[in-house]
Amino acid sequence: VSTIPLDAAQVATELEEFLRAQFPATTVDLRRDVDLFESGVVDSVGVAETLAHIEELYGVEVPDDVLLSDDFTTVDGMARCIVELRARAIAP
Amino acid sequence: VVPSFRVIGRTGPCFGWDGSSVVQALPGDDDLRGDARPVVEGAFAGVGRSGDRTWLARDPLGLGKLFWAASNGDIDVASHPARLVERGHALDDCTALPANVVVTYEDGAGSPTVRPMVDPVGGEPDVTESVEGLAARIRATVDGYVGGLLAARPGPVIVCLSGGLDSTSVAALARAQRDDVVAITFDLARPGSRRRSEDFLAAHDAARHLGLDVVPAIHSPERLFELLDTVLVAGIDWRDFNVSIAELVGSPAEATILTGDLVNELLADYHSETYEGRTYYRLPRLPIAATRAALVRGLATSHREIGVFGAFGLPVVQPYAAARDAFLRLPDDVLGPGPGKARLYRAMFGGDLPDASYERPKTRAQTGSAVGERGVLAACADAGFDERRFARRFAELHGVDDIGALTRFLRAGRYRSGVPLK
Repeated sequence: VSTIPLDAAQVATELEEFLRAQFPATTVDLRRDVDLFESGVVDSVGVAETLAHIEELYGVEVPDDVLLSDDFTTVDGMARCIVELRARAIAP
Repeated sequence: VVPSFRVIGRTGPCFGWDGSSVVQALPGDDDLRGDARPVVEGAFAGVGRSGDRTWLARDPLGLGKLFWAASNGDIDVASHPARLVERGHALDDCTALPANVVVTYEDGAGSPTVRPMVDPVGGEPDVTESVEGLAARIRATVDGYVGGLLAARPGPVIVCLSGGLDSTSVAALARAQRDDVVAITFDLARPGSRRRSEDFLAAHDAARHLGLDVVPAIHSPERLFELLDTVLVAGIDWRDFNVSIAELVGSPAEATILTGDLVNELLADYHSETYEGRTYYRLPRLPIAATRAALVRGLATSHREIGVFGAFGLPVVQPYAAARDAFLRLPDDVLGPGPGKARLYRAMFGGDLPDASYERPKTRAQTGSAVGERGVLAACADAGFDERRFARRFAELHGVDDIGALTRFLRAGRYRSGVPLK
């Protein structure tokens, strides 16, 4: 795991790019505050792909309590979760 | 203070395996004392009290289901969230007990003790154990499991048979133990056509090879649709055609129903289906090991076999659950829809199964044929049943008008889960 702290805005930008590339057929306006699950952008298969991407790129595993949190529903919220999980992982 | 647990309705059946015998009751109080953990595979979830202890437990794969909701300081527990909703709880207040956990509450103690039922299999596959060695371990486990099970349950034995490797092998295991095993095989009635699905025909061939009587279960689409509410509630799922109404079959009381379920997840040999230009059952675009992990993880959600049969009072047993550990140690080249599965099964069963079973391409129960007729999937799609409609109905049946409550309840193959901590 990298020991470099992450920047939430940077992570949000990257995540948005990933989601646009991964789910190009979505007709939803993919703003960063859109609920990705309620809007149907990400389904149960898509979230498995998203979790794998997060794990590979940021070196963090998303635990169930974070996965099912209200925060982990939007691009901005996911970015905050990833930053927090990375901070926890590199804390002394 | 230990919360008081109130069980609403009945918890699901217990079909565990402790490595040498079938466990038809949840781990006893003695098993939960001290440091020794009960190593129990299979399917179970429940709550028990003995002396000054109360415990909750759920099997390693999460095949058994248990939900809870707080009620004025006490805890209501049920096998289905709908039971909790009937008691006045909101779906947003219903939480699943996590899979692979034993929680013990002791009078006078502070927080409960939370322990895994088994250590998760992780890291690289064990290179010291060959595919043939693992195959032998799986075969020995399921032989022992089915033998112990059928010795303990003298009632009728019914195998849900599609003619594929998974169900045919389970039929062979049962047939080795008992002479009175009956196969039941499903097909969808097609108006104006007497043509049967590939599954139906293959099941008859396999049954003939094994010397089993076959009971055909042929239902009209309309009859299946009548049962949709039951399937949604009992299956605790609404996702894209995951409602396996094809598996709804009638059978006598006190029967033991055996299925070949779980191997598709444990080997990740699913593929997507296309009907009328639309793709169903899409798989994640991930390396095969990660796809398998996602599919296995998803077993903790959806109760589409055990739960749905249970709604009709029929106990379903999935023998391959007992061999979870060996399956998860198989290397990547055995996984996926390629030839690895046939290699594994030949190592497990050799000439015990008909040759045609090894050569038959994977067919989903919801389609019944690799090409041509598209079975229940097509019937649902033609009648306008899609995931959105299932979701709306699931929400209605659980007292919810906000579909968002569903994505807060089930996400990424996980129910909202946690341990009651009061």
